[in-house]
Parts: sequence; structure tokens; C-alpha cells
Amino acid sequence: MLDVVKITLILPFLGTLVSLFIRTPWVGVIFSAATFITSLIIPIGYSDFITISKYLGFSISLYVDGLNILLIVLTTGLFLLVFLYSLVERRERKDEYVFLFLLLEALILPTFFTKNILAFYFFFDAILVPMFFIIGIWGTGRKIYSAYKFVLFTFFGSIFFLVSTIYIGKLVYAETGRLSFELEDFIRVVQNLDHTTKLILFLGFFIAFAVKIPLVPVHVWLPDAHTEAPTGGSVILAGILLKIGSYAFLRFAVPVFPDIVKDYAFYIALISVLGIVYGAFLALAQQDIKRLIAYSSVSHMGYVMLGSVALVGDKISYEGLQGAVLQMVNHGVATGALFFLVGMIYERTHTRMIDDYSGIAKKVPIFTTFFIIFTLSSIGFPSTGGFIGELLVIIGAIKYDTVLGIITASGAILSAGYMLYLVLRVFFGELKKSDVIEELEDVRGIEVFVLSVLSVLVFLIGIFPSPFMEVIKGGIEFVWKHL
Amino acid sequence: METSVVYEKISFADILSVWGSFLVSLFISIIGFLISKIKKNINISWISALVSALVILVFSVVGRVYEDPFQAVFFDKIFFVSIFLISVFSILSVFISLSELDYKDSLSSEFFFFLIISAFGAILMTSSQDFLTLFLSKELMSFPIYAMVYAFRDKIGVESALKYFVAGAIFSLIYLVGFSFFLMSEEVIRVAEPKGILGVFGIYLIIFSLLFKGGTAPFHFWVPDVYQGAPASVVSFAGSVVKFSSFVAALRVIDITKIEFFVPLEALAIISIVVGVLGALVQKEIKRLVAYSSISHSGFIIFFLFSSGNADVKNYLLFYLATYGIATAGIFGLISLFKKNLVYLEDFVGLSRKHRYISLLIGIFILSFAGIPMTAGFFAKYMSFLSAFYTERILAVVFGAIGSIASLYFYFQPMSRSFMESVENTSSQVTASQEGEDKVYISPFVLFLISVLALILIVLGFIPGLFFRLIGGIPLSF
Repeated sequence: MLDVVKITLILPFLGTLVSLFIRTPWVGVIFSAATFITSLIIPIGYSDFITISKYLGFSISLYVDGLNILLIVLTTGLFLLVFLYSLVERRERKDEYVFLFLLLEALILPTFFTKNILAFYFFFDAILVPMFFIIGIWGTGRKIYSAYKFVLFTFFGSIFFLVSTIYIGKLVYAETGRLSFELEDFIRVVQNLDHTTKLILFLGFFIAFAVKIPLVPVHVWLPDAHTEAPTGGSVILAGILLKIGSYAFLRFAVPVFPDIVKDYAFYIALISVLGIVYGAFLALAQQDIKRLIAYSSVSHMGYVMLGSVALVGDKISYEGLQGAVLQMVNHGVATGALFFLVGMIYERTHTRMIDDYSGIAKKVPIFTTFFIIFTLSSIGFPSTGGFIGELLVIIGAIKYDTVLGIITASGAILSAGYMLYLVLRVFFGELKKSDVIEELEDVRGIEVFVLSVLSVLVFLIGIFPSPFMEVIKGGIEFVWKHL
Repeated sequence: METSVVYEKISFADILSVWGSFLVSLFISIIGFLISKIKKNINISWISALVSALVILVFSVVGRVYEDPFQAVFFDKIFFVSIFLISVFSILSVFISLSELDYKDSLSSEFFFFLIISAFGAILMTSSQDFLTLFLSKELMSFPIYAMVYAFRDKIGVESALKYFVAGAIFSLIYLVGFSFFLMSEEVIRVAEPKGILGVFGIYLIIFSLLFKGGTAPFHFWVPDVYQGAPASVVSFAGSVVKFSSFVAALRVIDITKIEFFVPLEALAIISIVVGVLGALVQKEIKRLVAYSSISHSGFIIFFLFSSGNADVKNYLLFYLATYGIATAGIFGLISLFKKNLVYLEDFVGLSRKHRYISLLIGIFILSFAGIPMTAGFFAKYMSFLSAFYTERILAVVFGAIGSIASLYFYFQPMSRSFMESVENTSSQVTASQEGEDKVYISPFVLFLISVLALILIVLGFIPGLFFRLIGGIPLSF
């Protein structure tokens, strides 16, 4: 009955309820720690389901393979770090903060587990509510505007995903006489449709995921939401929420519409490459550290998407897929950590403008060390996780299309450009004389712990990638089986 | 088929249980009304109204499905579900009205008597077997509400009541014209499949009139004005009950007469969604905002009428109307708690600081309106899209989807104001009323009842199947 996966899913919900009555940040820490521990012992190859309403075809089918296990552990781990950090963070209305983050964790976890597309949509959409409040209540600057922008953009994408889903569900109903939204039923029903219908239905799926990832024309919500969100919100947004889009593309869109993905792979690859380059150029021009990192996310998620569609023959290239899945984890770790760092320094100085800083490396050496570690991972420096991920994606891209591969590789140089330029301006050079910089203190205690955990992960993936590759193999088999 | 109804094995006890419980309930409310009028004691009136609503509530739980010997009403599952929901809304409304309306000025013995009479009309309207019963029960439902809307006895109230009355009269007129066409062609008053073209036309008009009564565009002009001018407690009753019985009646008529008129229905649905959403985007008052959203919800409810013959769709419609009704009753109940202090969207600014729990409840009801997962509204929206897809009404679904994107903007307004803005950083014009709010006495009992409603929405938002298990499952048959 109750096994480790179900306990992992239920714990955050339980925590949400408990946090209503016991109003202390420790509730978040305890429940997220428990969830993290149970998520570590989830067996790969697990398969089960929780039926909620047979009549409506609504069940949470649970499925664990190489595609999602890393993301699940990343989710539970990042949430634990966010809660740990919230202990030392200065923040008003902390009880509501804990409640919303536990709710967010409770809603994010099922999206990675389930193979039922309606259930996936349910949680995919429900995430908007806690995120809306997190950005709107604890955000900075134009927080309400950003919260609305985030919600409206994401909902714009997802509503057509819902329409596509219900339409295919109705086709399943017409065929079998029962409503079902399971992936297997969808695959079976959709392959008999004509090309135009498939394309329209695919667009419903694709736009939802593209907004979430985000790909270039629909990325405009991201800089605002990331920049104005509170630290924990940015970490979760960049570290996990973006991955739901790219994960769902591999989990749902590719298996259900394999031929459409193959037919239009080039266009998807093109906008991914556009995202890599365009995101990098925008990042170069930013004055706000957080906004710069936000734009770097656009660029990095372009790699993930490119790896997911880099075709070789009639299969997606092995390296590309490996790189895409690994890059999801890398980006979660490195960008999550960078947002933590920006949050920590913002709390001390209340400014994120690059011009307000200069030469603070002497003042905050530990902080600087961590920042440089994650910068290196972000730009794909050898021996960090980012290197393996980007390299694999670039290999996949070159195998797919040489020109695209070359442009992608040049994007990697751009990313080195904007990140190192940022480090140069903020940490080195003359120490700036101003009140806030004078009183700047280095990171300590829990902050150091949070950052150390993440930096260990960065090097772990970078130096010993083979266990991760072994896990990812199962996920690639899942994608290949349905192509 | 319609004429050969077999009267078999109906005991006297059965007849007594159905019509008997109705008569007992009616008797209680009339006697209670008269005594309270003579003794000039309003308490007797609301207690008797409560008791009579409880009597039919109990009946809806224990009563059983069979053929009505008088052939006036279908005693089927929908009938029992309707009695249950409408009596629950009535009981709720009694308490909400008591907390909102003033004993001296607004409240009189008639108010609660009217409430019960209107509930009876609404119940009969959901299950009429012939067009005459349908018409009479429709009027029985409407007339008391016209009076209840004027409970505050202020200038805006009389405007609302009059507008509502005139609109209702026009819809009755449309109904009667349709009915006379039908009668002329078919020469029966029973709801039946029409044979002549005139009969078909008559039924079109009847259905239109029912839909307009439920607040469908393009005859929607009265909706915001009535919502705005009426006491919130009355809207909490009328908004849920009138929509419920009008659309259930429309579904029955379409189902029994097997009329196929997708194009006009689709047009009405699309117009309602567009008008409702665009109208709500520019509103500054919470009641008008919810009124426009109710117009757009009418559009979504029409989706169910596309495939009315499907037994699942009947279940789905009941789910939609029940959850919509709960959300409407809940949100207006909460607004009524603040008397007249929570009128403009600006009044929501910083609400969560003072009334965190109430803000949370408002959020739940609004999320349910918006059809966001975790609330029952999501499954309601899902069912409406599914029902439209059963008959391939794709255009309607596309408009529904676009409508629900745009509607998020205005649905989130009260929440973003109450949770994210504080009084200091906005130019709130109504700071005076903010101070007045502190003096508002919030009845804990009413708050408890409304919390139960919110809890129901949350539970159904995660386990929607519970509703179908409770109403006796699948399939419903007429």
C-alpha cells in the first residue's frame, strides 16, 4: 500500500496541513528533509498508480525511470536547501512563506512522477497559485506586475494543452468506452490520426511546454518573474519549474507525437539555438545581476531543448538526450545556487545593480569563491557539471546539423563572456567606497552549508559523471522506445 | 410512450411522502409566517423557514425515485439532487440574511417566507413534466426574488428590483409565445418531441427564455445591475439557485424534445463568454465583477447542453452547477459579512492583514470560479470542455479557452489586492471604510458554514468522484 514513492508524495501535503497550525519555519525544514530522505531511496523502475476518479479518468499513475529520478531528487533537495536558508533569511510573514513553499513542493513532485496527462496538467497548472503568491507577496520592485505576467503567460500556454488533452481523452473514450488520460492510451489513439489534427494537438502540448521552458518568443515572462521573485522563489523557479517544461516535452510530447517531432525537429532546434544566442546577448547587456542570471537561464534552457530534438537518422541522438537530461540537473544546481548567492548579497546590501559593486572579493572571499565555482559550472568549464552537459549537447547538435552545432558552440563562448564579465565587474578591481559595501559581511553558517552542498554536486557531476549517465540511460531508452 | 404511463404499485404512503413532505413543509412556512406577522416577531418566521427547508432536505435524502401519479413532476435523481442542493442553499441563505440584514429596517416576516416559496418554485422548475408546470414554477421562483432584491429599501435596490422584474417579464413573454406556438402545433402541454415546425420554433423560444433567465448574453444587461443593487445575501441565494434551476430545466427540455440546434447554442455560449469576460475586465466593484463572471459561466454551462442526451453529461452539468452555486453562495456570503464595507476592488487592499482567514476563503471561491486546479472549478471546466467535445463543438471550446485565460486577470484582482498590497502604498480612496471595517461584527456561525462550503470545493477539487458517488452514481435517467 504505502511505499516510499507514495510517502514522498504525501509528506509535503501533510507538511502543508501541519504548517497551517504550527507556524514555525522548522515545519518546512522537517518535512522537506523527510521528503528528501525518502526520495533518495526511490527504486528506479517503480510503477504503480493511485486512482482518484475512474469515472473521470483521473488517476495519478506513478512511474520512475532515468528520465525523472534525478529531477525528483533535485526537487526535494533544492526545497530542503530553500527551507534551510529560510531559517536565516530576514522575511516577514514567514508562516505563510513556509505554507506556500510546502504546497509548491507538494504540487511539483507529482508532475515528475505521473504518466497520466490529466493529472500532469492538474499539478502543472496548480503550481501557478503558490507561485503567484510567492512572487506577489515577497517579491521586490514591480512584484505584482511580474506575478500577473508569470501567471497569464503560463496559463496562456497551458490552457491549450488542456484542450488538446481533453480532445485526445475524448478520442480514447470513443474508442474504448472509458475516459483515460494515460500515456499509453494517448500514444495508441494519436497514431491513427491524420497529420493536420496531430499537428494542431501537438501545438497545444508544445506551446505549454515552450512557455514553461521558456523558448525564445515566449520567454518574456521569465526575466521579470525571476528578478522580482524572492530568493527561494527564484531558486525553485529556475531550478525546477523550468525543467517541468523540458521534462514534459520528453515524457509526453515526444512519445505521443513522434512523427510530428521528427518532422518539425529542425524548427524547434532553430528556435532553441536562437534562444541560446539571443539569451546570451541579452544577458551581456543587463545591469541587474539577477536579471543577467535570469537571461542566462533562457540561454541554458536552449541547450536542453536543442539536445532533446537533435535527430540522428530517425532517432534523437544519444549524446543529445544525455546532455539534455544532465543539463537540466546542472542548470538546476548551478543557477539555483547563483540565485541563492544573489539573494544573500541582496539581503545585505539591498541592491542588485552591477554598478553598485566593485572589488568586493577582498571583503567577502568565501562568497566570491562560491560565486566563481557556480559561474564556472554555468559557463561549462571542464571538471564542472556544466561542461559535460554542454559538451554532449554540442556533440549531438553537430551530429544533427553542423551549422547549428557551430552556432551553439559559439553560444558557449558568449556565456563565458557575460558571466566572466559579471565576475570581473562585481568582485575584482578597485573596492568601491560606499556605506553598504563597507558593512558587507561574508556568508556564514547555514548559508555556507547550502552553498557547499551545491558546489560539491557541481564537481561530483563534473568529475564522476558515469553514475549519472548510467541512471540517465533508462530515461533515454524510454524516449527511444516511443520514437 | 408519453401517454401510456402505468400507475402501478404506488402506495398511498409514497404519494404522501412526496407531496406530503412538500405540503408539510409549505404548511410550516405559511403558518410560521402568519404567526410571526400577527405576533410581530421575526424570529418565528426565520425559524419556520429553516424548519420547512430542513423537512424537504430530509425528504431528498430518504425519498425514493418513482413515477408521479399526477404527471406534473419527474421524481427522478435530478429532482432529488435539486431538492438537496436548493434546500441547502436556502438554509444557508437564512443565516446569511440574518447576519447581513437589519432587523429594524430591512428584515420582515415576508422575507423568509419568500425565500422558501422561491426555493419551492426552483425545485419544481428543475423537474416539470409539462410546459405549464414549468412556467408556473418559474414564476413562483422569480416573483419572491424580485421582492427580496428590494430588501434594503434603498434607491439602487428599487432600480435593481425593477430591472430584474422587467427582464423577467420579458423572458416570461418569450416563454409564453413559444409555449403558445408549441400548443398550437402539438396540442399538448407535456414536454414532448415536437412534430411540426411551429412546435420546434416554440421550443426554441422556450429554451431561449430559460437560458436568458439563467443569465446568458445577449440578454444579460440586468445581471450586473441586479447583483450590484441587491443585498449580498439575496444574491448568494438567487445567483446559485436561479442559474441552477434554469439550466437544469433547459437541459431537460432539450433532452426530452430531442431538439438539435447547435449553432444558436454555440453562438449564445461564445457571446456569453466574450461579453462576460470583457465586461468583467473593466469592473471596479466586486459584485459587478462576479456578475459578469456569472455571464461567462453561463457560456460554459451551455457547453453541457450540446450533448444533453448523454447520461454522463447530465452528471457533469449537476457537478458544474453545484460547484458554481457553492462558490457563488460562498463569495456573496462573505461579502455580506462586511455589510456595505466591501464594495469596490480597492476595499480589498490589505484585507488579508485584518481578516486573513476570510481572504483565504475568498481566494478559494475565486480560484474555483477561475477553474484553477485544487478547486472543484477545475473539474467543472474540464467537464464542460469534454461535453462540448462529445459533439465536436471545437469553436466553442477555443473561445472557452481564450476566455479562461483572460478571466484569470480579473479573478486574481481581489486576491492580489488583499494579499500583496497594503494600505500604505496605494492611493486608496476608501480609507474611511477601512476604519469602519473594524467595527464590523462577523458572525462566527455564518463564517463556519461558509468554511464548510470552501472545504467542499477543495475536497471536490482533489476527489471529484465523491460527488458522483454521493448523488447515487451513474447513470442518471430521466
